Amino acid sequence: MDAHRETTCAPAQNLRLDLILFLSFFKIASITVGGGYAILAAARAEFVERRHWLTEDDFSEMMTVIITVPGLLAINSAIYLGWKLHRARGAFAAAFGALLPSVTVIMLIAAGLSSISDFLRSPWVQGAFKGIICGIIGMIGLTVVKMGKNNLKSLFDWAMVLVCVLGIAAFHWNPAFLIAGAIGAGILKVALGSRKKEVQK
Amino acid sequence: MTPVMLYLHFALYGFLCFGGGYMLIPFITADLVNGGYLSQGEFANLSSIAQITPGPIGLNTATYVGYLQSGVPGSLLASLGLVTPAFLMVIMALKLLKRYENTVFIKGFLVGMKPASLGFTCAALLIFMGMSLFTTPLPLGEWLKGVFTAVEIRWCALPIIVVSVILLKKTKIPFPLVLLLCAVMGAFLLK
Repeated sequence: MDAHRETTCAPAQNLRLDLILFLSFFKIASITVGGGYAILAAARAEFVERRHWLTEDDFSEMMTVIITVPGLLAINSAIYLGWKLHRARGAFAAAFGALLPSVTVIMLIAAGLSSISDFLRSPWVQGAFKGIICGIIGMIGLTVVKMGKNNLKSLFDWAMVLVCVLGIAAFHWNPAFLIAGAIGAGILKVALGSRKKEVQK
Repeated sequence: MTPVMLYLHFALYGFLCFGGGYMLIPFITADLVNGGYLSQGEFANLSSIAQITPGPIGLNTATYVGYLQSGVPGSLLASLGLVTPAFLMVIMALKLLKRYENTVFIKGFLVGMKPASLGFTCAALLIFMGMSLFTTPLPLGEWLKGVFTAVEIRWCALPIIVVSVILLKKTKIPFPLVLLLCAVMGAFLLK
């Protein structure tokens, strides 16, 4: 991550950075249907590929933190990126951008504008929804390929991926247990690895 | 439920829900439906609307429940409640990560969670495929038990996925435009 993007910028640049964070997350949250992982794939397209603010490594590290911390992935990623780029102001700007579209749209729907709710149920809109999900599959697929190239280095990594995929998609385990297990296994691996090195010396 | 109570309830959910907004649903069922605040019908309506509306599903859920309970102030405070713990915990996690980056715990955390987060993302990919490319969620659990139930493929979804991958990978077209194009194709091919 670029160090100069932190708090040392001139006031005008500061405001511009907050505005970009707000608008980027507003845009991502307005178009992306399907929740957390869809929004993360969109955030990767925006911040890794388009703006080059994050490297693939930064993105993988962000994923570890926002999945481990409880809460919504989209909001956690907004706070994470906002804080890294511009501390509290950035975090508020990004989270507000991610919050605004859902709050507005859902309030309109819940306010009993039944025409909206009928509109959402029409076959055309349902088809469009499935179409967007197809696009999201493309985006998440590309994210998986990039993350795989970066993170699959040992048998341990492959085994961990397999356990997590099956745990969530096949057995519907509670992610909290998988997260705790992954962290425990990782710590064990690092601890045993460093011990082995000491023995070799 | 008053807006302040909504704020507190959703702050508690935000503090306890590991693994993203999907994990909010069990809390809503256990606390609000069984507690008599939300009827079964309202709950069914809620999950269908939260999923097809853009934005984080958990946030859509909070806003909707908040509105049903006490109008605009309710929906604002419920969604703010849900995100408040995230501010504290993400920022704390970032500080811990920096401060203890050379310890076994943080190194081990990264070693374990990098492949795990890739696994979670792959699982999400399979779930999304069950929403569009296949007509039902993939019965992976049954397949692993040796019960090979067939799944029906929606063939019209395949070209949309292929086009989106090509556009995203080979061109500089921004992703919101690609998604809009997918929406248009979907409206015609998948209605």
